[in-house]
Amino acid sequence: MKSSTAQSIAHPEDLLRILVDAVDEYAIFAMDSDGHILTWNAGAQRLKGYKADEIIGQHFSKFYSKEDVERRHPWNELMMAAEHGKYQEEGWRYRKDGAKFWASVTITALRDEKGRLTGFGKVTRDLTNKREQEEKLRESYANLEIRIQERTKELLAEKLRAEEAVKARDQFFSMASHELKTPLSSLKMQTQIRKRRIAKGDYSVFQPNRLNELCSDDERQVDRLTSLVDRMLDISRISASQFQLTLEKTEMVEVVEECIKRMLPALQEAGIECNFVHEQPIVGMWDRLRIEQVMSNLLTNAIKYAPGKPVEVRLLNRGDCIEIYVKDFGAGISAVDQEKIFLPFERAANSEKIAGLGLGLFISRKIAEAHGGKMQVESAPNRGTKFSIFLPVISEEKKETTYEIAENTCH
Amino acid sequence: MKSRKILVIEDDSDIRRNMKVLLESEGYEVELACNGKEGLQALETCVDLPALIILDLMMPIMDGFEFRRVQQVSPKISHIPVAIMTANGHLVEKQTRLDASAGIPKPPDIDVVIQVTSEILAKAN
Repeated sequence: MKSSTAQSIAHPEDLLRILVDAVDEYAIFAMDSDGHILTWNAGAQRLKGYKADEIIGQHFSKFYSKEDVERRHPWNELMMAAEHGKYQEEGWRYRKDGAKFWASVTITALRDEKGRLTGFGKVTRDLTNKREQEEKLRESYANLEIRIQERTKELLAEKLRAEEAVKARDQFFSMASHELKTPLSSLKMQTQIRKRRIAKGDYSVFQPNRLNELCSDDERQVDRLTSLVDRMLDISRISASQFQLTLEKTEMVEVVEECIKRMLPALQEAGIECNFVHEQPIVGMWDRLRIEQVMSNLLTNAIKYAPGKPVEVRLLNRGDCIEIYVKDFGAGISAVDQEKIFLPFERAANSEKIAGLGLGLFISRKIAEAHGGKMQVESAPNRGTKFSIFLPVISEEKKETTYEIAENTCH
Repeated sequence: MKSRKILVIEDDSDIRRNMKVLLESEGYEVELACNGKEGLQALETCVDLPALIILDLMMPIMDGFEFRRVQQVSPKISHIPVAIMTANGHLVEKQTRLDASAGIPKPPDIDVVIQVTSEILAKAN
């Protein structure tokens, strides 16, 4: 080394040649003005795979793809280098063994002191790793973008669900206040009307018969309020899984008949003729009050959503279980809403103008399920709606006082 | 001749009955309807039109908004003043939107009902 260094100081051109030969990161070689290779360094051998004696004298287009050669790209590079002094690009080049690598190429035109083109210098760097890394980066960036888009979509859906839940809750509060204020309106008016009469010296309200009537009026409004509050309490009990049944020996035909009888004035007012079809009396262990609640809810729905049309109630003995259905001939429920109506606070799309808490069907289904039964809806727009409740026939021997919400035993 | 007739459109039968008792005890003639559709039918068939309509908003079959929309484009009845009655908030906003003469919040105070009624009738006659 020492001697060659001393030598290079004496001959600067040799120093340059020695330096260039030693560089193995870059392929550095000279070409004549037509592109034939004149020199070859260690880097060129490493990158291109040719030894000096294999390649010197050959045309540099050997390193290019067939397509590049066909479109005369190597010659165009030389023309551009000659014209502008220098030509740079990145592109695919081929090694002796056929493997391709991503190259950064600089071709410099060499001219003599009179400016005549004597040849070209070419410096090539292998950027395959850099390109691979860039591609990986691009790929992971694209993946990241896809994941961000997916997550954004999920978040938007979650936001929409949350907004819908908030909307349903707000509607519930608005409805609850409306429902509570209806019996309160009558109570307030009745009381105020009486006070006004007494103030005017009209004491007819104190006649025993009249007083009895007025008390009954008040009692009915209080009962309405109590039942509303009970329904709201049911919701919190169901949410807290503390919803329990009190099973007693019950004859179902009588229960259903009794419910219809109690609701007859409201049914008649809505112009509904209610037809109850049943077979022999059926006795089982059921929670009578809860079944009455379901029936009252289904008949109230018919009054609200299908007034002026007949309603058919049927009680069918299906051996292991009974089916009670209430079928109306109203506007029906769309397939989308059929899923929704059993959820708490949710109501069908066409129910905005109709008062209701959106709790009745949710509670009714829970009552059916607590009995080990189920509740179903069959409906289509303009084809009416049929709500069926299936309850297992439990004999007295198997009696238990309370049932947690059980798995379906009716299939 | 001064009309003393009031049409009450309200879906709750108990509120309807109480309104009738109250207004009749004040010397008004009262006609009742269960929803907007029945209200329009009553207006269609009656011999002398009411001087005031007391209108509930949330009702099945035809609600108060829809009733008011039809009423406003029916020349025979569009002039009849309307007092809306509603349990849910935004009373003033609804009153403005429906171009109603008055708004009565539910539960209604009978003094308010009587005052609103007499004021509107005094203006109309």
